[in-house]
Amino acid sequence: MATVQSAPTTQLQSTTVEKRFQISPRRAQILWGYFFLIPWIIGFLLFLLGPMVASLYLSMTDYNIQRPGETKFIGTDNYEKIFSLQVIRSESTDVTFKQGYSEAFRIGPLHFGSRDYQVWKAIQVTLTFAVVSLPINLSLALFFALLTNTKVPGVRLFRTIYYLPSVIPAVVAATVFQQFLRGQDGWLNVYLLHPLGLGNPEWLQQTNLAIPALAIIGTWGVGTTMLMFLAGLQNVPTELYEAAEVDGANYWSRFRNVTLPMISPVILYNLVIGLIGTFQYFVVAYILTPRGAGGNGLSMYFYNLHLYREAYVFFEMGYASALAWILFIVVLIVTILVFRSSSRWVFYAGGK
Amino acid sequence: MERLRGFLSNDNVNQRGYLKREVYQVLGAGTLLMIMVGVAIVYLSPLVYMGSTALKTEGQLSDPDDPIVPMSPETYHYVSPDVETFRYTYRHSQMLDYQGQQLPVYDVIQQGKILKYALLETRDNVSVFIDSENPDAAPIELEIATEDLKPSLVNERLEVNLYNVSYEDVKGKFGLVEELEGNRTLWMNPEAVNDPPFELPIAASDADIARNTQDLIMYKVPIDGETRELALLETGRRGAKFLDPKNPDAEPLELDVRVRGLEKVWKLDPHPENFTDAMDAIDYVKLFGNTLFIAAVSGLGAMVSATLVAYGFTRFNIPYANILFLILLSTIVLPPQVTQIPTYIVYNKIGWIGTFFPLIVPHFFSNAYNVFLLRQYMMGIPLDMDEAARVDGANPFQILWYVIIPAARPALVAVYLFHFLFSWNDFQQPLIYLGGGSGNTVLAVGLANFTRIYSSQQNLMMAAGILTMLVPLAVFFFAQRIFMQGVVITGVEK
Amino acid sequence: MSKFLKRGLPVLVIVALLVVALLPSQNAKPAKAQDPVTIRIFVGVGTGYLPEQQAAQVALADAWNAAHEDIKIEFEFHDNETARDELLTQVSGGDAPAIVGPAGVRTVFEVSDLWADISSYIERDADELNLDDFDASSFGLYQLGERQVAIPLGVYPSFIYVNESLFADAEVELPSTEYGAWTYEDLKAAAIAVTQDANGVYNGEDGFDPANIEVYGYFPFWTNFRASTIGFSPDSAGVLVGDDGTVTASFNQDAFREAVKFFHDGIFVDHFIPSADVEGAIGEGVTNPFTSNRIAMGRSHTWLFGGIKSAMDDGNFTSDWNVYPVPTAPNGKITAAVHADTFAIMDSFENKDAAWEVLKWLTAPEQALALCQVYGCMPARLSVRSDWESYWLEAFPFLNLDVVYGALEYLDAPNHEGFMPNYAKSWDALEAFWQEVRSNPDLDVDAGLDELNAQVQALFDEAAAQ
Repeated sequence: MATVQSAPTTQLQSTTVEKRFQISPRRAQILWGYFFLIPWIIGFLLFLLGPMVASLYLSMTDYNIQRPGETKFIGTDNYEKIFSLQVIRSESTDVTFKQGYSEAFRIGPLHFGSRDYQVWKAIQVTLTFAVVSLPINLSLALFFALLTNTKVPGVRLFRTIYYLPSVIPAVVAATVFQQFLRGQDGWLNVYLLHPLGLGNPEWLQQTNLAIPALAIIGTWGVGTTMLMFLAGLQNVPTELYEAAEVDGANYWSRFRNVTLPMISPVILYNLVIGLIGTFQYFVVAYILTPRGAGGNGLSMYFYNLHLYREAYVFFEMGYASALAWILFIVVLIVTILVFRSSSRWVFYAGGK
Repeated sequence: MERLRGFLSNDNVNQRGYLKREVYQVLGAGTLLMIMVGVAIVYLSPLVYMGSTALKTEGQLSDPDDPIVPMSPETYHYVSPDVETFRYTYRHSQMLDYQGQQLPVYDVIQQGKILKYALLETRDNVSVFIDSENPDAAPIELEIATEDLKPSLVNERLEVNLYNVSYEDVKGKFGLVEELEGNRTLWMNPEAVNDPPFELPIAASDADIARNTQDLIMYKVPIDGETRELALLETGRRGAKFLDPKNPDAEPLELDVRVRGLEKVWKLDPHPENFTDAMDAIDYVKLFGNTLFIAAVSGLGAMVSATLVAYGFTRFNIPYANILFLILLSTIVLPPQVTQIPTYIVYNKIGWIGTFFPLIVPHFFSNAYNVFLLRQYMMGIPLDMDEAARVDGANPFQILWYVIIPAARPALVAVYLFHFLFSWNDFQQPLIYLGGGSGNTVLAVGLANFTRIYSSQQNLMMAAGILTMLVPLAVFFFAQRIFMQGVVITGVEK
Repeated sequence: MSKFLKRGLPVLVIVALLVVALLPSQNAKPAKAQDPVTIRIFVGVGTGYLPEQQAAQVALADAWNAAHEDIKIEFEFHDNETARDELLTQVSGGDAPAIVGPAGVRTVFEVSDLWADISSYIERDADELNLDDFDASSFGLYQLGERQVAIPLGVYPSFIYVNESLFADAEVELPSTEYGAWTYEDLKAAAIAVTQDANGVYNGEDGFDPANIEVYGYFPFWTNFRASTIGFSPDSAGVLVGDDGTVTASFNQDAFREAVKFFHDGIFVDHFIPSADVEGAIGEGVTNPFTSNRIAMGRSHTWLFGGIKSAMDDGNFTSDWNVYPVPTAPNGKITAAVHADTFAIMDSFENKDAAWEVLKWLTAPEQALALCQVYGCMPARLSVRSDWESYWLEAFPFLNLDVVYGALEYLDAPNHEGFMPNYAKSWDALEAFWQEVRSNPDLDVDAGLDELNAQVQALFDEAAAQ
């Protein structure tokens, strides 16, 4: 009996063993894939996950940098503060809100009060800047990439020159651009606007010029984006153009039908990175406004500046963490939407 | 799109050159060059400003009329007939006239005040003082040893004439404080204003009186329809006195001009020594070495790790790849301001604060920016090539090495450049982990040394800034060669 | 290139992996029981981080370390612009330094919870400290309610710095050197008379171009709301503390109205003070704005001496200059704002006994003098004042010491950087308004001050409610 029973068992075992050594190609694929992800997974667990979880926890406390010992768990109160709104309908400019609320913004007769009125200003500034600056920078970078992807004499020098402002150290750039944007002796006014009869505006003081001033500075820094586009352009095969030319397509239609689809993966990259960068816009606004306080009338008061000031100027790290997580969720949703839409306009030659 | 894919499956794709001709043909060489030069001027302007500032002295920078090219006004060396004088504070001890007695006054420190008390007498440990500001009050007895007392000084502000004195071994330019009786004189040394005056047995007339010498600034002065180059002697509210250097003995010209409205006579005067001064000021060589090391090594880590991870994301059909990729991206979506302190705690726990590790090691575990870029690029590489390689029995490493890496070369170089330049100019992380100010830090942080709360040294900062940009620019300039060669995919090497 | 890829990359990868493998192993630091205590002194929240200052501080540390086995001093230098964030990161990251300084009054109050109370140490070592030797006016600056958080190191009284050469060029009479002999109206008249445009036309003459001024009569140095307005002698510096402890904001009292109008009109109506934007143009590239030769007068503290000295040593500033008394305010009082610097012990640092030993040593006469010479402060210790005098007379033989010491009679008490509830936010509200004053020509000063005061009062109330 024993032998009768043992035979199938052994057989069974040997099949399992065999199967274990003969991993299906599909599974091998998966294992190899994860194998190559190991560096990132280790780094994520070691250096990134902990601080992220910590900040998520802090966002639900009243952690104050000055008084860490008194930290209490306060649940979603920080988040409630960000979204607190009280609406009052009144034709008068002077309305009284609840205790702790002040006017954040106004649409016609509707007055909106909030426990953190500055966050609304910050959202407005950040969105306006994103709408103005991101398209300009992306198209300019693409334009420069196309310009310098030619065989003009000295093109390597031109490429280096367009890239040059991107490598100016931030501390130095602050001084340079502060000078450029000054009213009385700034180069922008002295050499460009004044000769054109456009006067001497004080770019960093006039509230309506704040966003344009930052957008202008931003155009000096398109070098990295240009670099990415250049890398993408190197991957466009010549045959496609020749074929298009045979079809009688002119330059613009070739650009639209060949060049753009072929570099669309890089466009997606630059768009997503640009979005993240714009929503986290901080350094320039911080160094160009006195005390990093966001300029006159909070005209350069970006979301991240608000977050930074709450954390390091007013010590409210708990609240700042909540602000950060709201930004995190919003940007992540936007990113997901962009990725969703990308299946319609991004072309991957090796793609799925 | 299907048509595009059809073209790409063609094995012999030569991608070089065509696109480059394309723009060239459409715009025409002339227009293209003009646009490029125009943009170049705008993009060079920050560097021009930096260079202009870096070559000037503070004096040149503070001149509101200073041209972009570093210039100084021409001057004219002028020996005036006026006597050279010296203003200083003559501090000497004080005596109180108290009931016919001359009492020395001392600084007595009591309860946070300096009291000016004249010493009347000392008995054992006790000193008896008279308050010099209220001499009629009763004497004050204090237990103070007189040798601990400092004489109270009065400040007398004097303006003395300077003489070139030579008497025995006393030689130099001294100020005449007082002429004493019997051909004796009291002198002070302008080089040592705190020393007491000294006496010499000579008369003032035995010494040479010193003449005021000045470097007068030259202006272009319009006189009667012609412009003359004159040296400014004296400015007044409505006019000014000028000297004609060609005719120095003539009477000064009194003209009804406003000096600030005149143009100076400029001469070229660059100060390249600012560059060496700047290097000395922040221990440039050491910081440069640190920066280069950190940027080069961490760039390598970033490139290698991103290649592996992006390869894993793009070439293997792994489950949950999208979610994993989203998690990867999410690490750069959270603003770093709120993870800074928890991250600091992590590095502090493992003893990395004050070392280069936090700036290098994490990059060996890849980051979202680089992985994302390479992913985008690798997804543009046709799949049929690795299929072919796989059929030939190549393992995933061989495919990576022989197919993917050669095809993704521009992107790999871009990642290295991108990371190198990011790391080169990174300010916040070295600041937090290496400490700001001075010491063993990197250039971006060292540069901040030149911006100061009460003073700034812009010329030195700009000089150091230019020096800091040289390496990234050189790296970029030369990396282009690799970068722009384009990719030639000729199939799988066997 | 492919050669590089074939041969170079594997080598680089191996090197890279080796680096990773080797790095963390160097970190194990076994702690020994007899290890000396290290007192880390965090420099940068105030002055003290300039290279020439660093050397002097390091020399002090060396002197201490040579003489002590059990306690070691280590100065750690940070740039002023970023020092605050670094300090907060270190403290929250569990890596707090022992001592922070030199710190001004504002720093002490703004992060008041960070400091240790040293009053019991002061009481214990009163004799050794020789408390009599400290300037009576400086000790109270660091009183935080019941707590005393620091011993004063040095004070920086303020005066009107005058570029006498510009006065001579404009043929305008110099101010009096006696306290009480001139008012803000006199200052304004003199300032207008020396203000000159780029064509050399003086303010008040025909054809004067206010958009193109080259010499400004008055410059607000290192300006902030409280520092700029304190000269108009407001009651209690705007912060009224009642007997019951309630705090009332009074930033719309007459003295503040007059002060703000003085600046706002001075910029936009009378054109003798530069606007916020023009301030940058004047300060560009120079050691400090005073040495630009574009400003005739400005109130600043003793720390300006250092900047002027270096500009004169380098030959970049050759004008005659001197200090003059601050003018009398419209309410008849004279106030010369004072700043102060000190070192404070961090509350989160464990070994406070050791930190106290170091603090005591740093504020002893010899060290205080050495530090004050590099920081530019007047030592709070009276016994070394005359040595300090000699040091500056060496640099500026003409310096009017009577004006310098005269200012000590008119210091602001309470200090303009002193106590406010909800300090950081209140300060920020005041600054936002001050920025508006200096950049918005259309600002309604009176309404703005009323609104500001209500805003600050709300912040005061918020703190009281907690």
